[in-house]
Amino acid sequence: MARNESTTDFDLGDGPAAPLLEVDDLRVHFTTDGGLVKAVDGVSWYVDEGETLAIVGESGSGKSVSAMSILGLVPSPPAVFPSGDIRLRGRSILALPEKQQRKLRGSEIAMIFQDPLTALNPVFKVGDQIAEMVTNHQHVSKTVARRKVLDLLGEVGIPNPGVRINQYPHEFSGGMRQRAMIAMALANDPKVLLADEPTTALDVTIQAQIMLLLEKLQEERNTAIVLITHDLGLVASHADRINVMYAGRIVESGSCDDVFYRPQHAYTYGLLSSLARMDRSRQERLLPITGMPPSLSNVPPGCPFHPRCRFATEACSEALPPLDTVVLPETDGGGLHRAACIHSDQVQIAFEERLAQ
Amino acid sequence: MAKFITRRLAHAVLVIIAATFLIYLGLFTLGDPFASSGEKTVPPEIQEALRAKFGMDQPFFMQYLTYLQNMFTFDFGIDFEQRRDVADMLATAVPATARLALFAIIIEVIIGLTAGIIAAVAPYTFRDVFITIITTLGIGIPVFVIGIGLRAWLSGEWIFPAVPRSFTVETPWWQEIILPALTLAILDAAFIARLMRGSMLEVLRADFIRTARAKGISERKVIGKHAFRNSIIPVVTYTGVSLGVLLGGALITERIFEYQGLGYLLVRAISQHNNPVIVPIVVFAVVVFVLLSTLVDILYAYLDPRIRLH
Repeated sequence: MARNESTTDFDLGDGPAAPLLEVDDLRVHFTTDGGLVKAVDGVSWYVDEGETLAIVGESGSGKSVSAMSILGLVPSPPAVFPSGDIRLRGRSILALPEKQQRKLRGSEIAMIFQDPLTALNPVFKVGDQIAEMVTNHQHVSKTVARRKVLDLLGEVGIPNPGVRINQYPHEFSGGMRQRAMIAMALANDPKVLLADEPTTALDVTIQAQIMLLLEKLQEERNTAIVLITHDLGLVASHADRINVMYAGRIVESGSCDDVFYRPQHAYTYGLLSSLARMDRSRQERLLPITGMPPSLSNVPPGCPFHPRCRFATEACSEALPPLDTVVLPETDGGGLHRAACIHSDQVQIAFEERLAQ
Repeated sequence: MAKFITRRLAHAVLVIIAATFLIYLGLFTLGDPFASSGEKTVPPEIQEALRAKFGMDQPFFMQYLTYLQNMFTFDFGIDFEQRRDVADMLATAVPATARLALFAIIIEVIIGLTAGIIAAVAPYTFRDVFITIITTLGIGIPVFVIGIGLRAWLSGEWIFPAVPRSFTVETPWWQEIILPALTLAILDAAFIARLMRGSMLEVLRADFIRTARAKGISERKVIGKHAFRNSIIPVVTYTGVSLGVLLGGALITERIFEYQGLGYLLVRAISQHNNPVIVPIVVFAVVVFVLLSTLVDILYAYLDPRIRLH
């Protein structure tokens, strides 16, 4: 795999101490007629080369907004950023002038989106849209860019690149469109790939193909992937670490195994108990989470999950537990296992009982 | 594509035949142009002679077929009023109207698109509200008010020719054209600005605009390339229709500024019952409209590849 020199003058050599991409206490609030909507409210995470971090949560939990703020895709106004920093190799992106930030978009950090039909511009040829990504960040001729696009299309498994390059998005099938989106995102060998529900709009067999493709490309290029999804099945088989988000905050964070087999937060427990598991021979009853996610303009006091929580006590509605309420050592090299729940011991007992059933 | 155009042209021929027939029938039922009316008295023997001269003593269908036959050789006959060759009259009026129409279209598209884009990229700001107010006025004020206002205010001033026009003063075409073109452009420019604003606002919310921004391309390119190509489509339709209407002659505006185009000719011809002038102008308007809508369809397919011509 030939690496192309990126034209960005962003220095990535700040030493190994800093994680590749780090989000620190990020808050994204929207001022609306219905009040202040706290879409993301103090979220911190990091991701390193070759690693897949999953951000899991229901619609409106803030998972997409936090990823889109990294690329400056959240329109401001109405969005405001009361606090937070986003650092690439230890250097703050947000402190950079807009023009410098733009150089990072698509070259160091790229993104693929949920619906590949609407994410591609219907009036331009797929090849030209990918080529635009190349020429925007590398000073290369049209011929070179075209050759690069042909290579990329081949690499993401699109048959007949020579024909496909001149076709429009509507001439592609859903899976092919997502492959084209991936080709576009990888055109400049980004260090970080943000994948926002990359398979949600695709049918199940295609989902598996796309995830395998992402894994293959990640292995070849050592790309860090941030996988944003509500699909726990997808997370279980592809993520190294998981952040579970609820109402704009991370409520549990840890390695894939820790979160799936030793959940510490009542919400994670709820998610897992409502999921049919293929790794169990005897199927236990599925337990749905009652109620609805809270409105982000009116988040319940204390733990935002307590009105829906089967373990909730009075203390839950009084103070918001920080993510460090429970800190367990890693069990499989995925970093610390942390949760923002004061009843984690009960959660663990309940979960173990469920497994033992 | 070639097949599509051929079919559309064949279509146009049918439309021409249908249009001439309906216009001819309409004029026939309107009555006899040589009959006495009002203060005008025509002796019966002279009426007879005139009818014979213009072939109007023939049965309706014979008249129509003769006309149709002559028309396809560009022989439109002579007019009732001054016995001029109608083809000659059209030869000066058509270019005059075409100039006016193109000029007006260019002005309205430039102003309309610019205003629409400026409003759409910063919705609900002062600029947007200001443009909305101006365009509302532009759409709301009738064209004759704008025309008469401009004439009262500017004609005879600076480079603009005085109205009523003097036969002795020659004015270059571009001086003649400015005020009527502006009059015609104001309404359409306001409408195009509205269309463009709405269409671009919608496109700017689309996912592919987010993708374009995620690519790190400049905002100018996001708007000017990705959003523009998608939001221009309704404007193209409207502009095509608008050009079609203008090319058929701007009746009110040409009359107000005494601009010697098709509209001016037509208004005069109608008031004088001058049938040989009325028929070709109306047919021309119809044909131009058909051809332009074909052109718009072709442009459509170019702008939006999802539309296939067949």
